[in-house]
Amino acid sequence: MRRMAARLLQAHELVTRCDPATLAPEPAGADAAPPDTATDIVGQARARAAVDFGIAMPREGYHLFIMGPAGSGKRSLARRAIDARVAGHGVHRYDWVYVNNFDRPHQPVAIRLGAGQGARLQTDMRALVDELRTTIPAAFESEEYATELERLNTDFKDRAERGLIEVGEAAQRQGLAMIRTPVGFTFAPQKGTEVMSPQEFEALPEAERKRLEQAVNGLQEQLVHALRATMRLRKEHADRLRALNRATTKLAVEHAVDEMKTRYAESPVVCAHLDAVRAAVIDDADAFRPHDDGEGGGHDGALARFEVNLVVDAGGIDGAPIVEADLPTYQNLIGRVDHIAHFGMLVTDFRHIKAGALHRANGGYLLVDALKLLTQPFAWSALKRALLRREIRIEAMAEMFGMVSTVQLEPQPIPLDVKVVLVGERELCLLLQAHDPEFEKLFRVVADLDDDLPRVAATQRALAQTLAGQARSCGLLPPGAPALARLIDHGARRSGDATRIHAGVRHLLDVLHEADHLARAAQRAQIGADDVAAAIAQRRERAGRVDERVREAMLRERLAIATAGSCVGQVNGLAAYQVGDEGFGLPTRITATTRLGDGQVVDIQRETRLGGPVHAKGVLILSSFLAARFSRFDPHSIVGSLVFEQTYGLVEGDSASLAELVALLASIGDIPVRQSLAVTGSVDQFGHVQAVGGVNEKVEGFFDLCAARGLDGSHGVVVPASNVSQLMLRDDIVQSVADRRFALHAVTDVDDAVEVLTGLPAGDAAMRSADTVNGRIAKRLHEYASLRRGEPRFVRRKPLRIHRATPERGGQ
Amino acid sequence: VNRSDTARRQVIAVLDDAAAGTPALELASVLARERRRELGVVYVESTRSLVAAALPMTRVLTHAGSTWVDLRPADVEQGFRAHAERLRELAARVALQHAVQWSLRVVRGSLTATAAELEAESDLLLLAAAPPSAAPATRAATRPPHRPAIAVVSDRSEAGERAAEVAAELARALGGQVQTFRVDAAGPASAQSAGLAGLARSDVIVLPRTRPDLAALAGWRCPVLLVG
Repeated sequence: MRRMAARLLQAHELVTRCDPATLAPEPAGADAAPPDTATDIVGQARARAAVDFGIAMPREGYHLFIMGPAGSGKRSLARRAIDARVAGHGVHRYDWVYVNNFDRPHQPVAIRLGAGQGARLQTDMRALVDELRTTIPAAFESEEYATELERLNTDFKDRAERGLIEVGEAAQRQGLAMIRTPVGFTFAPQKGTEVMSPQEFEALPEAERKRLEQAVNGLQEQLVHALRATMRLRKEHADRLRALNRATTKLAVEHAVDEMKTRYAESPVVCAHLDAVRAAVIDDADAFRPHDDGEGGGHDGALARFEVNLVVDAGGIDGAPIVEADLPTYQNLIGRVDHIAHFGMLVTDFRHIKAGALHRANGGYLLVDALKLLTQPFAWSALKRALLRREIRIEAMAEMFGMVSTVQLEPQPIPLDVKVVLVGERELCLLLQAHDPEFEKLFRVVADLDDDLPRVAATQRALAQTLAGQARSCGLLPPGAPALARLIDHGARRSGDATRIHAGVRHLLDVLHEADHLARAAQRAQIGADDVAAAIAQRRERAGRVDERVREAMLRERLAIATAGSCVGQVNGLAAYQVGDEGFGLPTRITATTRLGDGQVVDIQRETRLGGPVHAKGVLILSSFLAARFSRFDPHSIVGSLVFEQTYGLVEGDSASLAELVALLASIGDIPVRQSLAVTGSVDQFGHVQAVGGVNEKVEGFFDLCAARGLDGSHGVVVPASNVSQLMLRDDIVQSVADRRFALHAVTDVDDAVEVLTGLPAGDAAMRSADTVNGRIAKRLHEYASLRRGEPRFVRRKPLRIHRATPERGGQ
Repeated sequence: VNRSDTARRQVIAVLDDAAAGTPALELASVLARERRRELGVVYVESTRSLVAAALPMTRVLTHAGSTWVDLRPADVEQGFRAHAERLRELAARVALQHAVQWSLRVVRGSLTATAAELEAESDLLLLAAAPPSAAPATRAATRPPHRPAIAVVSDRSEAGERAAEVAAELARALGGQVQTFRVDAAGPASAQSAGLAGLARSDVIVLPRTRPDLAALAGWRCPVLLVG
């Protein structure tokens, strides 16, 4: 196949500008209607379809992961789809309340109510308690109650004392007195109405003393029986009092609770709770009765158990169908149970249950940043557990890990019906897919946003409208069409491709905000293209400290980069690096030496562990190329060494393999290489030049150095022809090319590059000739092969000429 | 200071057992507050208990258990001290609640004899004996009733009229109800027991000092206020 020669690029090929006229900007007046797409994202049809499907899919496990580059509108995409779904189908949100479990207070009961009903139940319960605080004391103050209480007390008193009185009377009949001493009851013989003295007792006949002692023994037994009977009576009395109190309370509470039950007849759970409330009130009416100090009926501590804890108010601020978990900690997701300090102890009850994001999103949608979620301890596991169980179970972490052994609340789990949308970087999603088996079960829809968008007229228009709409909603000055076009150009530049636009719209909005600031400072009524350009330049300037220092080092020749003259085995390669959001390029010197050997190309970067695997692969390809092109019938008889001079960090990538190959070829053929040119591009085993990344930054990096030293028309960059469509170069470079002070050469084959860089024809490798690059190389390699075979040298080699760079250009 | 002034300086509560303390001291304090008097508490250490303890055969059924143990005078003395201390605590609390000044005296004898001895010191003597029930008193039983039933015995004497006045005053202060029992001023108590059967159901009995014998008819089941 006939090889294409290197092509000198024209200025118009170096950048593809957006024509402001194609954007059809809206009127910039304040009364202009906001576009529908103000919060929308541009393009991303595949991702949109995936999100729409995921949002609409009602089956279990069809939660979403929206992945894509930062600032590409992942959240906006989710919100748009959810809003559309909600508008079309609505959402069924419910209130959730926790109430006391009167049988097992440590297991509060969850009740689902219609939206807005939770607050109503809360109010109604407070009203019920207030009512009972009045009616129950009133019932106990009634004449009927007092009369019945008096009757019971009197009856108890009579029956309790009757037994003792009978014992006392029996004692009297036997000449004994039953005496209540400070220590207890005793019996003593009496004389008249007084107790007999010891002397009088001793004076009694023996028989009488015996009789009295026997009588005392009998009475003692009777007294014990009488006292035991009294204890039984006391219990019976307590039961009767309790029954009276229950009956009195029931009278007061029955009507109030029944009346409330009619209002909640549609909810059997609420009715069951009201029945439990009624039973609890009847069991403990004292809580509603005045204290000893005569204060009003009931006290907050005892009555708190009748309160209603409204954890989700779907009728209030919790009613939005989308909940975004800004800080997805375990507690913020699942909910928590707070404790309060009470006399040095931490206590809690159902009133201190707090809802999490899952509670608030239940029945709707939960939007979570995947990275934030994964970096919060236990949050990811808790979310998965909730989704797999389809219920929200509030568990104290300390209890889960056995750090506390005290009784904790175990709130009844709440059934979960939520669609979770995770948003995050692509790598995160891939990691989860690879390492978390449960991820695939739960997040079956993955929406993958493109890193960039096709740069077609429709996309540009849509993007311009989005940017204009955002400017309006953010209160920015209206951007003119040239400003929007300039932003779109910047988006294309960020994508590294003139035919694409980077999907990170947020970055463009940031630039727009900064341009707005500059426009306002200049007292302009509209954001112009110059403001946008200035904002972009300022961003670059802010990030350009390293770039500036590196170029300064090159200008002071501390970093050796020649931009004039020629040199054997030395080529200006180009590297790219990133500082924050900004990309920069810089030239780097690549040198090669060759000598008689056994066909190896030594990659010094790799040998010193300063080269990455992709770079090593590129060097091995060079070795293969050399052998295939020049030593098909001879032994490959050279050893070449390649190095990136003055590099002290890792070199990775194969974008310098063209430069490395040219350096090797020049070294073998002893051919000087023009130092006013730099080269980027990778090569395959056949010598075809392939596209590389960061071509714009690389060109600009070399241009800036050459411009600083002075452009004289000899300077330029050799780039792969397949990169030409990606060029989005700066205006000053385009102008320099137009003025023929700088050049870009597009090459498709290593021979093209060799011709541009050496000024010699590439020639045919099969023709050993001193007039072509390949001829010289073939001749030299043939000589090496002869030497290896032990054949005598019949041509004395000419003394080696060392071509040095022109001194005034800083050459080496 | 003549006798009449001295008699009107205090309301005296005479008790022979701390178990009767709370309701009696409550009533006496209310009366002292209404009449702007001091509360004098007199604890009577019963000589009957001491004599009984001195007998060789005496055993006692303690309040704490159901077993009979030997009773010695020293045990009784110890019990007296405990009761006095308990009454001191009760008096301090109740007097503070009603904002009255108070004092405590301990004497030895019998309740009725002590009441007679104290007759000159106050025209308002509240006598409270230990309740007949041996079981520990319930909270309800030891508290003064919310709306007490006040029985007043009137014998148409001057003291009887004053007793009726004091009963009415107590009823106002305590929100109670007064039930009046008429007796013959000259007749013995035993002859009038049928008409006074209702006294036993009262929360407090107000008697003219001329008829202390009537107190026994109520069996000392509630405090008795003697009005001079």
